[in-house]
Amino acid sequence: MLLKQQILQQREAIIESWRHAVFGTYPSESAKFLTGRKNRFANPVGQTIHDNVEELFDQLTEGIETSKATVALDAIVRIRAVQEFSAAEAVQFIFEIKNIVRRHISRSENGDASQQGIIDDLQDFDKRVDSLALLGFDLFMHCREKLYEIRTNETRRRHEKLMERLVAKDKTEHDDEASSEQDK
Amino acid sequence: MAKTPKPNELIQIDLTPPSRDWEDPTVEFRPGTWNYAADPETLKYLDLPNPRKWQVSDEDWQLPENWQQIIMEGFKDRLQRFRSFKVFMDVCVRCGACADKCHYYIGSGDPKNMPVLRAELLRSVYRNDFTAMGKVFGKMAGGRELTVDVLKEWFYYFYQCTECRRCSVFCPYGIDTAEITMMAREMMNLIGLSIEWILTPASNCFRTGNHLGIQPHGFADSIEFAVEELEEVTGVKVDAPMNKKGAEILFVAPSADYFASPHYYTLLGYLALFHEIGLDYTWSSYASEGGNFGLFHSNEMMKRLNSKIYAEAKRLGVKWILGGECGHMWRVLNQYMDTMNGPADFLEVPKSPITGTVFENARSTKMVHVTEFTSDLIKHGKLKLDPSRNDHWRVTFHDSCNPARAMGLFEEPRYVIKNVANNFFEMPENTIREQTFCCGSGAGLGTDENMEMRMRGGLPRANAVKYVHDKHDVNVLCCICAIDKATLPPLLEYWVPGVEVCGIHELLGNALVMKGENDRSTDLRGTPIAEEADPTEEAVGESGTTKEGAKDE
Repeated sequence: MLLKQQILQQREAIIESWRHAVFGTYPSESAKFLTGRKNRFANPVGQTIHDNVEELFDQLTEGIETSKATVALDAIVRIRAVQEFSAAEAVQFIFEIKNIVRRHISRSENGDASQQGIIDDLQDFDKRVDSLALLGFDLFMHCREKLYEIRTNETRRRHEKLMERLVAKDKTEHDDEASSEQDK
Repeated sequence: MAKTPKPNELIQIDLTPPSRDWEDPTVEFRPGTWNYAADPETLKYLDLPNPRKWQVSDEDWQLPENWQQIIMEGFKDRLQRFRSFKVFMDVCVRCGACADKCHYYIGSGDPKNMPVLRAELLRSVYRNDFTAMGKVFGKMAGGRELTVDVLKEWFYYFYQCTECRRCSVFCPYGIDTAEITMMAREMMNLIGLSIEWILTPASNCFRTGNHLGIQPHGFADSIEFAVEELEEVTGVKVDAPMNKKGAEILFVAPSADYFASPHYYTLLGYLALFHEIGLDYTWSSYASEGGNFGLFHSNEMMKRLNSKIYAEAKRLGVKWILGGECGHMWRVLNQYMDTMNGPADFLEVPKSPITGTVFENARSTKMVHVTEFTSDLIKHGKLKLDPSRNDHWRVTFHDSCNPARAMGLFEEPRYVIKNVANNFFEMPENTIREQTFCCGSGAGLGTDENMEMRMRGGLPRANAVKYVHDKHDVNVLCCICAIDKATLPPLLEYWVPGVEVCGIHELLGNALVMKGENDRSTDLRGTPIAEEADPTEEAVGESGTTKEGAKDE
């Protein structure tokens, strides 16, 4: 509870630091664009990160509700799964909140990360971060697997009607042969 | 053996990419972000220079010994032949208006996908070798020497431009970045750097008239097969004339329409429509492809592949040409065909035989877009339509880049949709019409090996679709481009599952009440049509549209 109070006092600053950490994983010229434009259609990556980092933060402080956390985390990870990131790089930003929270507590006037109550709370908080990170890995893998599934489906669609025709033709010829055999 | 990092070292991940000068050309060809190299046999078939076996992932691209000289001569030649290219190389003031407009940049965050910076990859070499300042001051004047790494960088980024021209809409000087990409690709072709997905369809098209390499009898079979399938759905046996001399109109469609899904249902729609109005038209088994992958290769290849259209119109003795739902096909037909392979003075100014409307806009090319033709029919009340047959669809419309930005075709497609479907919802304002976002897979980049890059490039489009899907429960994305119909389904499968893709004439075919038809219990896909429309559904037409997005721009 001690930790939660302190975190909530600095809610906006912590969220902003966390966003900054995510945007910091992009090249500097692009980070400016991603943080700058506020239109969700002109800057979908920036806005997705902006909105969902906040939701993830609330999940960590209020307790994780899997369905909500999945939606928010999926929105970010789905994008990073097709950008220039390895699996570790794509989800590393989740762990980053641990350092950010510690940094903000130690900076605050009455904050003391070595206080026993805070230490206990931090351990709980870290566990939630870890479970969120595990979820992140699952989502990343799901996205990558989806990409391969999509490749297969696309190939199928490309000649779908041609294949249907070949199968139909093959069946007709087969039936014709069968009936001529019967006639004999 | 490599040193195994300790746990505390592993957790120290540097989040900031190493800061590199943009002039550093090194690129990493990560799997999923590039297209396979063209087969040397294809190059030979098309008489193209420097055929050889090489692959993008190879360290050594087996470049011809004098490759720099070839490129420089090609550069010089193009600067002299194409005034626009010369102007585009000189005139950019790097104002940045285009920078954040490219779908690849928006989706990837890679600065070199800013159109200004992508063009700079070429401009820097231009400055170095073709301007006095660059020749004297080199790097200080923004020049770069053409090295193997610079060439690889060209290949990487100029095959990450879909020539969609969204950036050009915002350029105060009207620089057409698509033309810069075209020039870069042309120069790379000179040393045999082409991609398989462009050249194989081009060589098929050169041989048989269509990208798939279907021979005339195969094409005729396909149309016949569609006629039979349409009869199964509607109970009406339609006539589909093939190579009919003296027909009034020649109809040309993209070849994907007769083989791929969901394109095929659009083909069924055309067949139903032409039958119902009793159109005197013909298919051509030689002009069996409206698309033109030559556009993505070089202007010479585009001209070569396009020549069959007027030639067939002449051979068959038609009065004018009608064209189907295709994207880049219309950039070629509307902007280049007339001067490239015209004048088509043996044809007449297109006039609808049903309504008498003269298509003045096609006075020069003699070729009319099928949505122009159909919307005119609807406007004159020539079609009996039952839009409730599309009530299972909640529709949005994707303006395909070329019909939108190369033709200005905005109203006709929407007019048709609103008359054949009851539930139509626009995507946000800054993602449609002339500001439409590309599918991310055009200009020859729609390969499965390039899937990761396509997902990045298509993100802005999918993001707007997701918005109307979440808000209005939209379940189908309608479009008038064969590449869109092939590449939007995978895009939506990744970003917005639950939204399908269709063509306008598929929806029209569903709604069209045909003389002598059966009870039409299914749509053209064979999906059962809802028995009765839900009275709580929102109203059709103008009131069903939403305008969002730009307000918080």
